[in-house]
Amino acid sequence: MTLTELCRSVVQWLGVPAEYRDAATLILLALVDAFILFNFVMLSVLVLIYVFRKLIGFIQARLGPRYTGPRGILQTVADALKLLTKEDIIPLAADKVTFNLAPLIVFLPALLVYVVIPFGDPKSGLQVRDLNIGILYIAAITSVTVIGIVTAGWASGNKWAVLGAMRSGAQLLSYEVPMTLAFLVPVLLAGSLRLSDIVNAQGEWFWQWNAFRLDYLGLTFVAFIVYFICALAETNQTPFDLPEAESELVAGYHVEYSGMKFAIFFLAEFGNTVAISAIATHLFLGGWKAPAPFLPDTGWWSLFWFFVKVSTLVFLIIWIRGTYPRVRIDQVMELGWKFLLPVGLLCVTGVGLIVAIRP
Amino acid sequence: MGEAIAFWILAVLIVAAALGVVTLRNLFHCALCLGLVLFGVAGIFVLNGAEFLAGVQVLIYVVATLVIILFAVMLSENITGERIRVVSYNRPLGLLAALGFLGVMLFLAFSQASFPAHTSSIKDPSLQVLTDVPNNIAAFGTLLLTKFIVPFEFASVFLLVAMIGAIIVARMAE
Repeated sequence: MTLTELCRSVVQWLGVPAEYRDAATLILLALVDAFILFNFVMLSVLVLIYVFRKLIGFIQARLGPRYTGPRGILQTVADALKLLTKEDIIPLAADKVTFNLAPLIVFLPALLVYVVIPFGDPKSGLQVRDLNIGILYIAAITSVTVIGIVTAGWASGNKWAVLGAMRSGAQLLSYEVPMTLAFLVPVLLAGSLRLSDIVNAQGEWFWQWNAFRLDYLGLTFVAFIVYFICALAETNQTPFDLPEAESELVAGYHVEYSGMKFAIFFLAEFGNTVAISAIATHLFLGGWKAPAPFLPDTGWWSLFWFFVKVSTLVFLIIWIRGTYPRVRIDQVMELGWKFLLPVGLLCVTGVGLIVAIRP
Repeated sequence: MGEAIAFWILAVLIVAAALGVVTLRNLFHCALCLGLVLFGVAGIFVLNGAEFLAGVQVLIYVVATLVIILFAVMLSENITGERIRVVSYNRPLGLLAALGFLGVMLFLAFSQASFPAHTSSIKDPSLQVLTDVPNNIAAFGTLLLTKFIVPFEFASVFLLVAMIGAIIVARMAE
């Protein structure tokens, strides 16, 4: 039984009059979807932070969390509870309304982006909405984050926060451009903005996926790399974590935040890490498809393959985070405008030309 | 019915936020309200089946334009340490301009379409493809690169000129 049918029967059982039944079903379904997505983000962040600390510990030749629960598995839960019970401090120089609003503006896009991301084959109902503007929706919604970060920096009334917010604004807006160009390559190949169409346009063998296919002179792989670098910059991951550079800006835009509001910023950042891995999976790595046609990839198997790919990318991001030093702000800008932008343009033009020429 | 409810929620939100833009004393708050207005307009686009426009509206107006405004406010207030004074000397003139603009828009709307509006009331036959639901993005793109290629290209060249101009003006000080 699908979720829609379940909601319909609940509405029927509640005795809603027949003329309002469809509307009530839609609203109930939306609420249930929101509940599931919210919990997915929370749970994945909970797991991710534990894995992140263990892996970073391994990379830096230490042990990571050990004492709370078996192998320190409950450390994140304990940290979350600690943050929840902390005093909510609002600095005197802060602008109260916007100070409280900023974490929400940052968190909402991190949650909303999951609306169009399929967690498996959409035919098995593993996607909330298959919008026809899927990829454009992702580009639009994820970019809203920068407003929250700039607001947080301004509202804190602190010069480090302002500097962090400025860096973040410059960085996020700059990398938006090559990222959108990288988005265009799978869109050109699929002829659709819809995520399920983009996945279905990729072949069944792993060398037919957008990242690995060679029939476009490897330009699709270049686009994948461009997207991945931009995604790291967009989510303030190392080596592009300048907006919150601990050693120079204390913590950047969220330096004045404590307790739950700080946790929300953190939550959004880790939620975005999973989201960009999921987007990269769908655009370039064949989405929910198995690497070979003889392997099962229908129903729940599609969920499995999706999570295998997403986890691999998340692992890669943590690996990069543990390995590379932070770059300077002028290097960030130079990489974005002088390298990624021309390379992205080359990819779009090249793939577009081949698509146009090929019968 | 659901569409009507959504419209009214959006309409109230837009008007309330727009009032905030012109009445709030803090420029940063005004800018955030402007963002809310633009977001609401994106919602209206979705209600009218123009999802592509809604996405572009969020990407360009809500994010890019608003961030530039927020930057300007942040740089001037937090760096110079001086609050920007928000005053309006020309209310009557502003009211006149707003009413005049409203009049022009209403005139155009009523002369171009019949009310209550329906997709069949679009008079230009070449635009009929846009009403071809559920996927009007392809039709939109085709129109943009055939019938409207000249204004489209003109807009891009215009923006490029503005961008180069801005760089030159900024570099002149050095």
